[in-house]
Amino acid sequence: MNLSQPNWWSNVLSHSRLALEIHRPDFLPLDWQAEQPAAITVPFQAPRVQTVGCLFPEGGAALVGNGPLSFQTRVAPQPTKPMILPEPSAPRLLRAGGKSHTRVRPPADVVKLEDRLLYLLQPPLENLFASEAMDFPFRPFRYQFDGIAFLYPRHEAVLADEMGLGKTMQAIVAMRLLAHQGHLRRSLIVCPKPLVTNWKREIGQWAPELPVTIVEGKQQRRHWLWENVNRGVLLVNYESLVRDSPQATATCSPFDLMIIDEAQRIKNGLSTTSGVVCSVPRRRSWALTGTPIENSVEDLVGIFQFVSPGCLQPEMKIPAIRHSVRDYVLRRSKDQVEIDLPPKLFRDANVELTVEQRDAYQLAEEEGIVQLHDIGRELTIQHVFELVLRLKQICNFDPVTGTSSKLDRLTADLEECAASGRKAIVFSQWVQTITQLRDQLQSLGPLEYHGKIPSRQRDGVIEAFRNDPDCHVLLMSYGAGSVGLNLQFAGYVFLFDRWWNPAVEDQAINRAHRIGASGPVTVTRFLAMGTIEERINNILEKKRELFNAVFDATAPAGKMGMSREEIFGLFQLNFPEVA
Amino acid sequence: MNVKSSKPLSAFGFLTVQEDPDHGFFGGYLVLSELGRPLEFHCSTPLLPNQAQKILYGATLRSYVLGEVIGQTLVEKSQLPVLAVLTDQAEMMSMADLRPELLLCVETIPEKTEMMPHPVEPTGLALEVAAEEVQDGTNECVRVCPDDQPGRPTDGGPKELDAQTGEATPATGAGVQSLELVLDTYRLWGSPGCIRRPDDLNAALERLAVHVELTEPFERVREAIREAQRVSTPPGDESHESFAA
Repeated sequence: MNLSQPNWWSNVLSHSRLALEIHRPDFLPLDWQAEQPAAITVPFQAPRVQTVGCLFPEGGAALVGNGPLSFQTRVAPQPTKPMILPEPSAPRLLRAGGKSHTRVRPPADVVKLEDRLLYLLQPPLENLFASEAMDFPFRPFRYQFDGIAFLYPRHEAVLADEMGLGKTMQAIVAMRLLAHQGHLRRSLIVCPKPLVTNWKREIGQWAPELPVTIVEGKQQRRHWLWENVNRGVLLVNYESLVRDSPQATATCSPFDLMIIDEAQRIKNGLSTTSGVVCSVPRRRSWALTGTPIENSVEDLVGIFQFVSPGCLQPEMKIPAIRHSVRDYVLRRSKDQVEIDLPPKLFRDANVELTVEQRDAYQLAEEEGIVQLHDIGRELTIQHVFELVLRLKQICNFDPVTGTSSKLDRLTADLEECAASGRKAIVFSQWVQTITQLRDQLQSLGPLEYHGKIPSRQRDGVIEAFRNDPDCHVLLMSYGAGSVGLNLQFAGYVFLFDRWWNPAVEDQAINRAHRIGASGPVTVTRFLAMGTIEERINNILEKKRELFNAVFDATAPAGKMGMSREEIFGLFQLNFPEVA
Repeated sequence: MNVKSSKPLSAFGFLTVQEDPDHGFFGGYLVLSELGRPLEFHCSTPLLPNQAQKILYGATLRSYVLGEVIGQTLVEKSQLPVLAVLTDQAEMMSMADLRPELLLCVETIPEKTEMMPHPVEPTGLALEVAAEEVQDGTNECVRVCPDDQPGRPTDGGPKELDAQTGEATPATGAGVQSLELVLDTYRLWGSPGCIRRPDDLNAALERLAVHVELTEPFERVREAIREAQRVSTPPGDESHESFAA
């Protein structure tokens, strides 16, 4: 058919004249003729569109007869492999507009259109939770869906959410999805020793069907586990992994997924731990950390040696780093995710040293500086650190009389806290200080959690703090208690002395200020005025600026972390090589 | 016309068109399994009607472009047979006369507000006729409407614009039976072919709705159209398919 000029149109045009005749009795006969108006021809061609498309693997299988059956047979679909959405026990229709949809978006390194579309066209993650067969303890927050959708398609990822936002849960659910789809057979999770039981408990909650094996015990048993556990999740602490490195790195087949928790443990790329972690064969590398930068951008470079070797180089500038990691790192702060967390209230307890402390402090500082000067060119950073630590200890307690202005203030606050039935966590960097506090605070039933408490007793300490109404105070060291623990039932946090970097302090504070916190968390930061603590505090603030420079594009680039010059500068000392 | 030879799978097609003021109409067709998993996807290059076509087709332009040009082409390209094709655009229903697939238009039933003290029967026309009715008392309802009363809602339902008057008229023509389904919060009305096996169709749709919000896959299609456009169009390339004038 000639589309450009239909037949009927041509026929009409073939008439040279149109005639109109009207015959009605009440009208005079009318014979009217008009000339045919000029006509134009509009050539017409049917519009066409080109298409781009693809048949996905599951569709291809269905096409050749392996797919689900037609409804005429009335037979329930038989999936060829585990499905994301198992058949619920009782049908329940998904309602329109009931919730938002979280899409799985392809990583930047997926370039083939077909592959990218396969990610985009997956069902929204929320559909999982509409299915009764997927049993989760509670519905995740929106930002947690986003985190799961971020991890799920990535082979290389850093989940760097602020502490307390549920990195562990997001990683477990993403792992569960991959396992359900048949992508994971054997996974390895590496975490600090105190968090092993926490991980096991969380996997039991969020992925109960995944078998978990903790690599622990005698050497023979551990070696057997490395060699013979070929499915499920292997859970190991960093120390055991290093100890068993020959077995872990000589595994017969790569782990389908390797997760390292508190990834800042491998920030030093030259360390043995980093070397072992990076040498474990694996297909996917996920790093979890709330503090990807503790001191300098070198920390992030170290983590990326595990996540994506070669992505970052030590000499890279901050803008280049920010650009390079943007598709690998997901970082959300509590402010950004807009969850309904109670407020975190900071109080700076600036105290004056007691007379005894002041005398001891001045004497120690004067003598210490003299000694540092006497060392001359042999002076090292270690010498300076020793003096810093000695002075900080005096800021806590007078070494002779045991007086402490911080303790006086702390005691008053804790008594008020206990009287109101609330619980408090007190952090210090020294076990000796914790011991002194324990002796002075007996009336409040203090519990201890630090490196000298055996691992097998630590869970009991946490349980007692959680459940015993007479235990109001938990004395913790930063080293043992700053990561991974969920202590959201504590409404007060006291930083009796200050750590070297703000990230560790934040970790400590967020033991209490995290999801599930029932009320505001009050953080009291002790600071002895006119001492080394005040000078260190100024440097900590600069470190916060550094962190923001890498992970917050709106913040100006800050100064680097605590350099050797700055440490020497605490005592107006010159760097020996320069002097 | 490419009629797929194999019998229908327990799969559904989702067909929609995205309109861009600069580039025209982009079409997308997604085939999903009953569990909501993607099986096949096709999208079309953009189509921008020129002024002559706008004048020629007038108020029926969208119906022609969506159903007869884009929709038909995309479904024809698909390799997988489906139980039914779902669309969220009433204008797409013009494809029903051109393709053998069952075609259903999906819309969300707006929640009743306190301003409406009496429940509003969503199938106004269907109630007025003594039609065959299948209802199990739970959350789905099937109505088959006779020839002179197309079984489609009078409020917000799919309509075609009369080229002369500009008034809305039912998209399915008089003299043809049609089907309307109500699945919980969704209302679907179908092409004449749907009437042949309403029970089977209803059961299949209900199984689908256990796993898929019936309007959600159209979001996926639109996302995929954007992605395909982003990947395939070099920066600064404003080219597009156009009607030949």
